[in-house]
Parts: sequence; C-alpha cells; structure tokens
Amino acid sequence: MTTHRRHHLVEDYLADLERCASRLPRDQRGEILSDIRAHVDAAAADVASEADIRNMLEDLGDPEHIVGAAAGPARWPGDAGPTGRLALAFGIAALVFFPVLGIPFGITAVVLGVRARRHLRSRAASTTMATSGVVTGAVAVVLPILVVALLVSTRSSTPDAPNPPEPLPAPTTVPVPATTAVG
Amino acid sequence: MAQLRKGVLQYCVLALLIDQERYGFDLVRTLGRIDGLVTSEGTIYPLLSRLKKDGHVTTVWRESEAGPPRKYYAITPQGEAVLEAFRPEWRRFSSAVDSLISRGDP
Repeated sequence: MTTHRRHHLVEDYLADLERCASRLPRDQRGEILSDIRAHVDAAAADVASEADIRNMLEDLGDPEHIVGAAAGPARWPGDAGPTGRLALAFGIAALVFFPVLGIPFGITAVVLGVRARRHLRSRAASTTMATSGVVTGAVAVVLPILVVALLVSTRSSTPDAPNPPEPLPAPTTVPVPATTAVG
Repeated sequence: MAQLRKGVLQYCVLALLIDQERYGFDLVRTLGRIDGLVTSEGTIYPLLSRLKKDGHVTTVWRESEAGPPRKYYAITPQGEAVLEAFRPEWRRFSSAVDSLISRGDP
C-alpha cells in the first residue's frame, strides 16, 4: 500500500495516462497503468521538490507516447483502434448483406462507431474510420425502411394510377336459398 | 534515429538482465542514465511487456522492505539466445555504418 498521498501533478499525469490507455485492450491497459504507477511511487522516494516531480514526469514521457508504444504502430493512417475497425467492418458487411441482414449489421456498426468516435475525439485523433462505420451502418438501416415506406405510400394512393381500373364484372345473381323462419 | 533506438533498445534491456534479474524502476533508471539511449522512460515498460510476451524475459513478484511488492524481470534461455545472435550482427552492422559515415569526416 502507498503510505503517502501522491502529488497532484502525479495524479493528473496518471489520470491523463488512464484516459489515453482506454483504447488499449483491457489486459494491456491494466499492465501499463500498474507499471507506471509503481514507477512514480518508486520515484517518489528520490523527489524533494515540485521541480523534481516535473523532471521525473518529463523523463517518463508523454502519456500518449507511452500508450502509442504499447499499442504498436497503427496499421494504416486514420486507424481508429479495435472498436473503430469493427465499426467499419460491420458497416461494410451491412452494405454487402443489404437489405435484410444489413439491418442488424448496420445497427451494430452505428453503435460501435459512435462509441469509437467518443474515444477518439477525447484524444483529438482522426475519427474517419469510425465515422465511415456509422455512415455505412446508418445507410444500411435507413434505406430499406425508406424504400418500404415509399412502396407502402404509393400503394395506398391511387389517383395517378397509370392504368385505368378494370371495369367491375357485372354482379352475378346468386340464388339465395330461402331461409325458413324458425318457428 | 528514433527507429534505430527503438530497434536496438530491446537488446540493451536483455544485456542488462544477463547477470541478474532487475525490477522495472531500476532497469528504467539505468537505461535512462545512458545519455541518448532513451527519450521517454515510460516507453520501456511496453517494451518489457513485449519481451515477456515474446518469451525473452519472465517476471516474478518479490516482497520488498521499501514498500509494496516489486515486479522483477529475468532473462530466459530464449532471450539469451536472441542476445547471442544479436552481438555479431550488431558488430558487423555498426562497423559497416561507421566506416561509411566516416568518409568525408575530417
């Protein structure tokens, strides 16, 4: 257990690191946070002043840089991390399996994409991939609904029907059996 | 240079672990003291994680009188083999680069 309270600069740094690390997979995130926490606590022994703390944190480096080292290089520019990639994958699947299966895929794409955008925006990172997932997913859901709505509305309105309605056949008299009153 | 440092740092870590196991803070401070080797001390921790994932080091927690338990890193036989293979490669590479870049250097 830490027997001392951490300096506010250190707490701010760790909070920053936690925020940046939210995009990492859970076990990686836990590990890097635990390692850096142990580091700053161990370093606290040598620290005599606020200037020392600032130097220590500067030597440690920018939290985003550390998380970047943990995440590994981005596969391609605008890489939005695992959630963003999934969002785009579902969005593409939604269009491929358009229209029926596209709807559940599309909903998943929108949900994942919105979540990814929130993470990315908090780090001022490019949201292109996640946004693409949201857009394609939304299109795959909305378009079939629109088409069905359009079809339903044109069925129910008849004034401008291209073909004149067929003349009704002459009613044929159907012999009705005499009903005997129940006496 | 940043890429070069990144590529070489893992072998420096392994070399520091050849004789003894060390805990994270100790490793990081030792490396950080060597001028020009590391720009951000914090990035050494993800490197240590990757070395562990690749099986080049193992970790063990040990009690410490100074406070909470510490995570100690130790080199594995696989890590030793990797370092063994790196040494001649690096010597050949660095002397080749040396002789090339010293052209035109008074």
